[in-house]
Amino acid sequence: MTVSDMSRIERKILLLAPRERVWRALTDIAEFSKWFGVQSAGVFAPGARIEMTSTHESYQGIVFYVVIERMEPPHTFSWRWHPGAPEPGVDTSQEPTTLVAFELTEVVGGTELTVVESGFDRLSLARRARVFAENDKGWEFQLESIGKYLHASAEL
Amino acid sequence: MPPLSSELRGLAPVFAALGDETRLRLVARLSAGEPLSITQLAAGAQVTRQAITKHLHVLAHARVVTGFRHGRERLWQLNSGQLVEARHCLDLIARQWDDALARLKAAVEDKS
Repeated sequence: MTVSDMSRIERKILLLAPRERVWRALTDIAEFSKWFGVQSAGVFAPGARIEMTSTHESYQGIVFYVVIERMEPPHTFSWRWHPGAPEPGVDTSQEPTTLVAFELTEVVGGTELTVVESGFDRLSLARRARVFAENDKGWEFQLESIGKYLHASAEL
Repeated sequence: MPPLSSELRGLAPVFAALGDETRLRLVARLSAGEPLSITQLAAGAQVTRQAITKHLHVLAHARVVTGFRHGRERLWQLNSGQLVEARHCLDLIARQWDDALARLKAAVEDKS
């Protein structure tokens, strides 16, 4: 088995279209919604939090959010979101996010699009904080037990 | 079916454990299958035995490796199951990206 970088996913694709055309398909919310498979409204802009409703067969009606990070036409577009399929009723708002970054490069005959989703290694920060909190309680309990033990021993 | 956010959350310690070059190197060493001692793992490494021990404990906490006693020393071995599962989750997300990018390609290359 090979061990590779599991903190990110990277994909590259050659699109036989001018960069401005690709940029529009990525950043015009109506165009984006069609190929991405969502219903959404609003305008993509840095800092904007956009609600999206999936139109995919398996996730029809599921709502999720993306927060736009960078928008530098016509080459860089990025957002943050919670990776994986969202589950109704599960609050992930306090969980760390991954960063999705699109880079558009002009090449002969079209545009090379790179998409990188990164930060999978940071997902456990919130979880770690919880584990530490639980561990603290564990220590308190142990110290209390030692205290009781010492107290009981002193009484013998 | 892509992974659910809860599955990813469950695997979060695995992703975090692997988000470090030294730990990735330890995992690579152990991926040969043979259990190794800290002395063996530290041989040729640029970090101290103490650092190796610390990193092994992070990996053990994520259940990526298991330590066990063998005579007078402690050996470490890889739990490939956790890695396979984490890889599988990322592959499913990557496949979703492939599908989305294929639809984007069709949209921008449409001449009509």
